[in-house]
Amino acid sequence: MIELIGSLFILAGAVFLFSAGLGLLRMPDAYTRIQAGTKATTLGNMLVLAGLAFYHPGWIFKLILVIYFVLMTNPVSSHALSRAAYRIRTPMTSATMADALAEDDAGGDGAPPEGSARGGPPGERTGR
Amino acid sequence: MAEILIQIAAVLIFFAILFAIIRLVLGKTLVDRIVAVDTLTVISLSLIALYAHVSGRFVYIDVALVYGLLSFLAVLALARFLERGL
Amino acid sequence: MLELLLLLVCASILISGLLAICLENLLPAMVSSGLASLFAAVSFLLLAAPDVAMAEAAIGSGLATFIFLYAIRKTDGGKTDGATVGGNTDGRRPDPGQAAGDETGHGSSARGKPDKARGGA
Repeated sequence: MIELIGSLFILAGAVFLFSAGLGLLRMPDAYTRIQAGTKATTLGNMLVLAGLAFYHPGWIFKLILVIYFVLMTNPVSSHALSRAAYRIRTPMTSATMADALAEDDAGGDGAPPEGSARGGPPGERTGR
Repeated sequence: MAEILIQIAAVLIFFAILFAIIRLVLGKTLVDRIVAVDTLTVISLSLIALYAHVSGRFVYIDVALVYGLLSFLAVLALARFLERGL
Repeated sequence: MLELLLLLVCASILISGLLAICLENLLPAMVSSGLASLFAAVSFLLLAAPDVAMAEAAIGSGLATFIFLYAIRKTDGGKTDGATVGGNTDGRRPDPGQAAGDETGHGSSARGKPDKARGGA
């Protein structure tokens, strides 16, 4: 019975990993691909490792270590990557509705709000 | 029953790796390729853990840990290089 | 099933290695070569050699990526190569922030070939 629960966890995690790969293939934009490729793999990896913890109770310390590590590092790398993608002006898809970071930069620096889609030149604010 | 479910999970992970490889090959921008590599690393980490269960060896989890750590550092260095030139 | 996964991993090594050769921009080629070494680590693990896999993951992914990044920064980001060959198919344009970062590093050290290429262009 406990093996069945563990295998169900592993299957759910594999479904999330599969959806991450599918979203990576089908999303229209670099930013949405970052979303699909990072969040879904974090949850999928956690579910797979939790399912393995049902099978092998002796491995549970190291599995929790791996889960903690992925849970801490994967959002950090996705955040840094999306910020770098914004800074080097990776093109967005045409369906993008709002650009909150450009508005934030324009408002925060006291610059007059212009009609342009992006804020000022990114080279000036690399010190943050 | 449980073994069949694990085999279905392995097939799903197989297709996830395949889709991410396709995105790596035909991704237009650099960020697409970097995020494909990041996704492939986490998927392979799950694959390594699953293979550790299948083969029944505890040592393979250590490889997964080293794998995740190094890829995280590589992606972070790449993002920092893109943002402000290292 | 294990043979199928091993086949997929070996095909991934082949694909990413070919991609590392064929791409003309240097940064995606570096990313692809790092992916090739990562999949080499997985294939070592599937062939029951976890210590070799650990060394390969540490050296191939971590150390080689840092050394390649340092080399690309030292050689002006591969920008002169891309300008002469015309390998701009990757959509990464020299933006103002990157150019400013390069300019600050440019005057500090004496550099032969990029200066000549930039002067010629």
